[in-house]
Amino acid sequence: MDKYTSTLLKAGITAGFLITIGHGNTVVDENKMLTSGSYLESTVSQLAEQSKTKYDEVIHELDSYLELPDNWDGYNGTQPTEEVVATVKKFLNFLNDKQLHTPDIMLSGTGEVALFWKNKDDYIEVSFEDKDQLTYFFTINDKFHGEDDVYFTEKEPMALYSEIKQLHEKLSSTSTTSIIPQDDKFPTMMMG
Amino acid sequence: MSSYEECIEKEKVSQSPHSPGLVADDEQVSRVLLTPKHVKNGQVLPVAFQDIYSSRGFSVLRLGENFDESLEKTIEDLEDENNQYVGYAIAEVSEVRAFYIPKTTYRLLIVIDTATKVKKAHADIFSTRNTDDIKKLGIKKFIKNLLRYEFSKLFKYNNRNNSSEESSTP
Repeated sequence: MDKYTSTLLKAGITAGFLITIGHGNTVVDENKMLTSGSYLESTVSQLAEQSKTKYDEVIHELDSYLELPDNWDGYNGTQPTEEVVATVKKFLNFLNDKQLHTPDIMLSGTGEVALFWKNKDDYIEVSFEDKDQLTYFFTINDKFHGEDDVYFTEKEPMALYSEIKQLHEKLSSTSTTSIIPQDDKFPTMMMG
Repeated sequence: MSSYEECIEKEKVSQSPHSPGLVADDEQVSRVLLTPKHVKNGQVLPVAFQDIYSSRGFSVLRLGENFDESLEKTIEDLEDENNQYVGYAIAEVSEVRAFYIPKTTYRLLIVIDTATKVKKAHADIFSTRNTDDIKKLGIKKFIKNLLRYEFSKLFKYNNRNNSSEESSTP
């Protein structure tokens, strides 16, 4: 058992109630944890591995952006700067440390890197164009909120962190995380 | 484009001598895609539509007469050793035109006929965001990203084999 799995296992035992980790399609309960050490170990190990795999894939994709040629998208697309890539990595590490779902990643033709989480009803997007800054928005229940050019630290922006955490919990407690198109209703302003 | 009204009026006057006519509401337009990085699980990602804010316009092709020839020419122009045609994304013109800036009565996008001699199906989507009136509103960056996301939902992806793909579990 590696250090990462061991830490997750300890966290689960300490919590002493239902825990969900990684992509959350499996729930580990306390009774099984107490009566079946091997079951718990293999399940937590599996979930930790899934989460780590996604994180590694996203980091790999991010690193590959720096290798893109000019006009990489056929429409004069440019690569992100190394500073932007470093900032995205810092944010991904922050999420990983908090054991939150690793988002998907995408790159625009202007060199902007964006991370996003999406399920049937909710969408969160965090985009990076400058060193140590991010712009984000989320749409939840047909309402939206966002902020521009927020300086990224581990304590800020709290609204974003709170929404990511809530979406993480939602994803972890449902049996499906299907990405499907939303209906055509345009969200209304929530705040900001 | 200086004023919002002037910008909107451009839809009512043909912009090219090669055009088969004004772009009608009941038409469909398509965006040619040249990177798999802009498609995930059968859906075109919002970042593929970044250029809707470009002052040079967002190139699309009108489905219908001349589409195949224009598509072929577009692929020929855009493909190179790094970019391979992966398909195109289709949207209804009426839905593009019904796209409004939140909490305003301003449309975000116009669709105009910009045919060329060899691409008669060519059209452009322009953002009204670049007009003086909309600039005054000071639209925030996150709103721009939100609109880009909403805009991406109007498009349905057709892969290079001409079959539409539905989204699937990631």
